Amino acid sequence: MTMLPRPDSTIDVAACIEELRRMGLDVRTDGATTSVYSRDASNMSQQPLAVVFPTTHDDVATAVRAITQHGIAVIPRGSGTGLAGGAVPEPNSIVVSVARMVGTITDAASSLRARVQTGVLNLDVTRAVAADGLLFAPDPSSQQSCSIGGNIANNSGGPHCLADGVTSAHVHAIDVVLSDGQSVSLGGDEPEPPGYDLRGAFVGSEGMFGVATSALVKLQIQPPCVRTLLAAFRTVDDGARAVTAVIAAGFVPAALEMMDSLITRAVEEFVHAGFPTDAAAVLIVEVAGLESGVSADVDDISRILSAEGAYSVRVAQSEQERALIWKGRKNAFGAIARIKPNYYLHDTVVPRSQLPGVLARIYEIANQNDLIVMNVFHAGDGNLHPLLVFDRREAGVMDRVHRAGEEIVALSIAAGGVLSGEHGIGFEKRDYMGLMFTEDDLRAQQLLRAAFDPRGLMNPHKVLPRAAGCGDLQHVPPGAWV
Amino acid sequence: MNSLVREKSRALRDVEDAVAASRLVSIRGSGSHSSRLPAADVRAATVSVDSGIIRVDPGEMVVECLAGTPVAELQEALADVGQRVNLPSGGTVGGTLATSRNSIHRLGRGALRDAVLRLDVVGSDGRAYRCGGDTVKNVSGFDLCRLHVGAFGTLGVIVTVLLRTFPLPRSSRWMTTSHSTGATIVSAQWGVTSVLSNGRDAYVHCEGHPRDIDEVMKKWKMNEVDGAPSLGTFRRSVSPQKIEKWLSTSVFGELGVGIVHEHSVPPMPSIDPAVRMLNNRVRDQFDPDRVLNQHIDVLEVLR
Repeated sequence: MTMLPRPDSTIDVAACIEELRRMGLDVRTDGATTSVYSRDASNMSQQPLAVVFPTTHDDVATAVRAITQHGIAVIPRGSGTGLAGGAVPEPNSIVVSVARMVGTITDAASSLRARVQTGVLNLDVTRAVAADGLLFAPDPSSQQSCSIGGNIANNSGGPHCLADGVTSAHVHAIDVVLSDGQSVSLGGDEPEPPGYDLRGAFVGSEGMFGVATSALVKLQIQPPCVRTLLAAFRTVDDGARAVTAVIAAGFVPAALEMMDSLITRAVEEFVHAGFPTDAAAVLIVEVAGLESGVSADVDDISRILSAEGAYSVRVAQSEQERALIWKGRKNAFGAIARIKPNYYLHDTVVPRSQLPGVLARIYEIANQNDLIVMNVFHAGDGNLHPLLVFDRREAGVMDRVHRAGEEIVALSIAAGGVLSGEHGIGFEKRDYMGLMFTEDDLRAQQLLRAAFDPRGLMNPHKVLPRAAGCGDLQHVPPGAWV
Repeated sequence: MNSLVREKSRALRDVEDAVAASRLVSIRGSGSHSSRLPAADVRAATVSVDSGIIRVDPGEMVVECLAGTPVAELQEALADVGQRVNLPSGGTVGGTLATSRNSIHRLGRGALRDAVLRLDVVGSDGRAYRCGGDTVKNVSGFDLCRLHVGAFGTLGVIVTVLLRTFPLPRSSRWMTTSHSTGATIVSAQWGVTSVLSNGRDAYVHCEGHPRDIDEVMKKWKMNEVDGAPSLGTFRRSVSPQKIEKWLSTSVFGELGVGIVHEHSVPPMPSIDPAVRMLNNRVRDQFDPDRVLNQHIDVLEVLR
């Protein structure tokens, strides 16, 4: 279900669009375009008034200034792969898409940095520097289609962020357009630029502080030696305990992922990577570094996994085998269509030591709500991704999906966890922020928002719930279950 | 409630009371940086945060402490469980974060700010609030932790700190080579945590398996040395691509990072007006009456 825009009678939409066109910007108002841009990868939607496609920083500044001068909100948008509704428009808004800002990657690879426009896709950065033996570390599962701008907005993670850290650790500087159209460069080419770390404050601000137009990102040297282990367990509990045991023994693998039996079987049918389909849980453990250290770690970790109940531990013998394992892991969500047509994905994080108990309870919650749940997640950092799979056509199923989701979120917070590990808050979890933060905590977050965007016109109504929203007219689009 | 949790609550309450009672507050850690800062107003009440480790949790790879805890004490407690935090030696944890003093191993271990998972902070109105969360991964809400790292206490008093820890490496070694080889190593050699050069000689630090370090040493024809060279105590922050021009026999810089360790005070960098405007707006929001460390301007401060 979608809603048509409900323009505020005090704003002159036609004049704003006319002005944008006069400035030479590509502005689309046709139903086909506004329909496409009414949603991201969440299940919420709301048509914007228009969509603008700038190609340069100056275009963005011009567009944002004109839009906000008319009192219209700006919805910054990367590739629209976000899962929390962060790029879903609000009624009186114009989407500013950076999708055409895919400027050539510049700067010397020898300096371990690359300057990219924010419409550049995540994987294209690594592809551009791979021949120089380098990589861009954040690797969300959507990395073939998500943009650097979206990564910055959501402080995106990915399986390999366990050892290397999430997006914020890999961005030196960001060029930003603020809500009044003013340009500012946050961070810098130098390591300790003067003033507050406004670069760090901007990363993860979900489009509510400004539009990022380009970024100076950090590159890393590709590890010379990488080994990937696949361990099979007879119970989910054993697998979860093994995760804690590996970390507690002093190992930080490059990645440590877990898949339960349902998802493992679905993935195996999909990619034929040799996943053990008889296992209740599978761990993918990747170790990277120099040869001797990696060999020693693989031996030690294999011993720990076996001691914790792994009945088989297989080390990928070739790069093709390793690539196939990761293809299976990263395409897991595609594989579930074989089971049910729809899914709802959560993204809470719990302390690793809580994983066994929390996972057991998640299966109970799904069971009590007569739903199927599949778990495929970043176990090494406790980042759960329970997938509730269902058929939307079943009467009353959405109520059960929402109820189960609420219980999972509350369970995670009660276990000492947080609302989101990498998807962000957006519209989806906005009204849960009070579970994790006090009013004083949220007020401090609002102060930061007000410093960047005093008028509250950048991506309004996301992240901060009403009490902290300070005058933002609260609105949740159809499809949200908050 | 155990005694450490009580200690944490009391520390928060003490700082809340101290800030609420004063119109002017000067925040002090161990004082190791104070000679570089302008003098505080004599009328300002000095606030210090207690020392104390609240929780060492090797399984979660986190450690929580009061901001007044000496870094050395924290590292000692972590070494007992085979871990460490990415903080340079000296001073207190809170002071290190407030001044954003990175270690010379930033090249390989990352920036200090990335070690911070959660802070409890007392704002200029004397009310405590929490930034971040207890897990190693968290994007719930805006990133206030990074805002406070390097804010020199002008936006809030850091009272408790939860840091991410890492396992101690199997071994580590300092080695020397030429400047040009050091410069190549920065972008070509895995496992290097620091390359310090004076434009002629480079000191390279590696961490990992001893056999791997032997290989690295052989590959680049390096010689083992006891430790890092002696460094100047003032920091100049430059583009790592342009660092060479600042290096001289007695002045070493961090290749690949861009910190030059000077022996005398470097000139202040010029500030972009838009950056100044935004910095001022942030301070106006968090401390409109300039209660906290009024004497410090983060854009002009000596690091």
